[in-house]
Amino acid sequence: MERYVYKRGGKQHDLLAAILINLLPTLLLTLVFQLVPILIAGWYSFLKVNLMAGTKQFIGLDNYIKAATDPKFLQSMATTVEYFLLRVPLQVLLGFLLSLLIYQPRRWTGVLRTIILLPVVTSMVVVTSILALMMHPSNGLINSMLIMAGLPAQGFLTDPRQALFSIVLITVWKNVGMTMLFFLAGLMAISPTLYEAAEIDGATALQKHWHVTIPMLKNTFIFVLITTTIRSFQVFGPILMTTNGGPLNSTRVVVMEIYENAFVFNQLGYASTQSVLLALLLIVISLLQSKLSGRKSR
Amino acid sequence: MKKTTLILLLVLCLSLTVLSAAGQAESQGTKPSELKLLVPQSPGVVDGVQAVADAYKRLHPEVTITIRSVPFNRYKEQLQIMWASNDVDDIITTGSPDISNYAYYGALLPIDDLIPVSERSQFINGAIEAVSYKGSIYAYPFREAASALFYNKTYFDLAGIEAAPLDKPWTWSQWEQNVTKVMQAAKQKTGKTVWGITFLANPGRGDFWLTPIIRSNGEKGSATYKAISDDGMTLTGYADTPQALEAYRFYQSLYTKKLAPTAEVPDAFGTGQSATFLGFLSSAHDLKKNFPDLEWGIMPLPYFKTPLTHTGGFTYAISAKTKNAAAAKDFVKFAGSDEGIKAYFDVSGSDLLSRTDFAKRYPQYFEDPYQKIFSYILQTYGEARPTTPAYVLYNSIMGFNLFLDLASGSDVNQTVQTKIKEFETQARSM
Repeated sequence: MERYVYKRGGKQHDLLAAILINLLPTLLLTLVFQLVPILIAGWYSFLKVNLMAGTKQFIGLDNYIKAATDPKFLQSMATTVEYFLLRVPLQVLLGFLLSLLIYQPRRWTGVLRTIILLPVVTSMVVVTSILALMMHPSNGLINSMLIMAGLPAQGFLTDPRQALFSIVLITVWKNVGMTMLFFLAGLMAISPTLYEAAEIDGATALQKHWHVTIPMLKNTFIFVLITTTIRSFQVFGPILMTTNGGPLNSTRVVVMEIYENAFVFNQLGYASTQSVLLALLLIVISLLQSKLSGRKSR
Repeated sequence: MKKTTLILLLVLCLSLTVLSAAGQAESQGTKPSELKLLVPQSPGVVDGVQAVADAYKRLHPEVTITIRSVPFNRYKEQLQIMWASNDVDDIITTGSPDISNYAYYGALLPIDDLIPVSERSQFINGAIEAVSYKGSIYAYPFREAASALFYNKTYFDLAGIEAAPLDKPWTWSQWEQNVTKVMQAAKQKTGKTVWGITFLANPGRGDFWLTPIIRSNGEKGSATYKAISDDGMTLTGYADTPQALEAYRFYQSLYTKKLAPTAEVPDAFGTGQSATFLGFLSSAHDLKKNFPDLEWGIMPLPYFKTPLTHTGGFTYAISAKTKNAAAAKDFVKFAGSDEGIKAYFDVSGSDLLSRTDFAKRYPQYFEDPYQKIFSYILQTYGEARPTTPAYVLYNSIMGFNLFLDLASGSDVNQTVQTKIKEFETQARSM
């Protein structure tokens, strides 16, 4: 099938109409359920909104000033950044290494691929529940194994020093399979002739990956970094299910703060402001990642 | 032509019949109306309210009733979103502690006329105050709750400890001494390491369950016992008194002394992993159903200076934006009447009631032994939860986050002060 290329001034109105009709449902859904709520959140960020009383009062930049001086919000931002710094390198590195492991078909590749992808197709709720039970400080499997090995039992999700990293482990375990798939797709697109040429030049396996694989996967790395970053800043479900922001606010991430302000404290305007700030931060980080990766490749 | 005349006459007759029927209905005051009810998915509640609606419809066939139910833990969000729109459910079934919060925002209709002053003494202590805001009643108190301490009879027997009688609860220090002996006896004689106390969710959380421990360290009427100012907006001077801080320290010691688990232990009491357990009436029914071989009993909640248990439960309230205020009030009145309660209990099983006079007229609904114990506890030690228009904030900050932080080992004084400040700041910006 030939790829369609639009030519200016062409008279392919039927084809254009067909494309538009096909796109219309998606565009409409995106508009209604994504763009309009984003715009409303932007507008609400300048208001004091009370859903129950049905009142909206314009308060200018008050919500933004409050956010800039709110220690709870700033602390939740810091916790989110910490979570992002722990999760993103770990997930990207593991995903990349796993893709290298199963790239070359071997006898055990199929089994390994299934094992790695199993958490991806399992519900986050199920994954979180199982891992939380395994990490239970007194009845959990991991502590039983540690004790059997003569090591002290750990608090995991109940220890303020370990809780955030325990959440990172849960989310990485759940998502690393998908990251691996992206890298695998990237690896498959690399021409074998490049490796042959490297081999002729006498490159070792490590040099081949350093000089061929990694540069050729540049776009995949950018994509994976950006999507994992966005997901890291949006983490909510596993925390709500396990620690609810505790212990001692050690897992209180920014989305948790937004949720609580909107639906527990009935401060929808302030929650919208926090959402806008989070979105802006994500845009900045994504642009930076994109730029830095581009500069490195040049 | 004849045929056409005949048809016209037929249409005319039919129209006249319909019009006269409508006129009759109008003159009898039975205007057709539609009522919408929003109910949380809590065990027995949806079926119970449906039975009340069915009984009401039998008396008022002109009223159409639609019941919508949403998951219990999403109920409050649903209420907020619903009240933000103009298409609201006329009647809601919600917890009594949240009523003043909703009334503060003007989301509910006052219903003083449904509970005349002469009838208010028929409700348990604090039930009317819990649903009142600025002198007006905003909900019809219906179901109640009370907490008690369940104990493992087998372990208590091993230690030779007798549980506290219903009329003479233990103090918390008596509880600690006795439970420590029970834990040691269980370890020595069965080899099992058991917890001293477990909660419905571990570590413990929720104002209903835990604030009574703190309040009990004050004399009735004292700032510690009150827990919050009369206007429900100030905690300084109430939640940070030396007595309150002492009680908070005791609560934290449950975890530092390893008397209570710092993480969830599913069915800890039912599976014999805990010597005592803080539960309520449904816990008794669940234990009987799921762990028939377990030997257990119930005693009142221990205390420091004044024994108490928090009360509160489901109420019927009417949305301020309802377009059928008269019909909604009529339904709520019926739901709170003997007939309404009977319809509810017949389907959902009997429970604790806000109205005490019903039990005298219908003792057959109070034959369950556990219900009798809890009814006694409710009437003897029942006290409304701290009444505040910011109850949602209060429960979240002081009922959940504070107790969870204490269980994690945070500094008591500093954590209490931080939470008080957080509550008061949020309450001011309501």
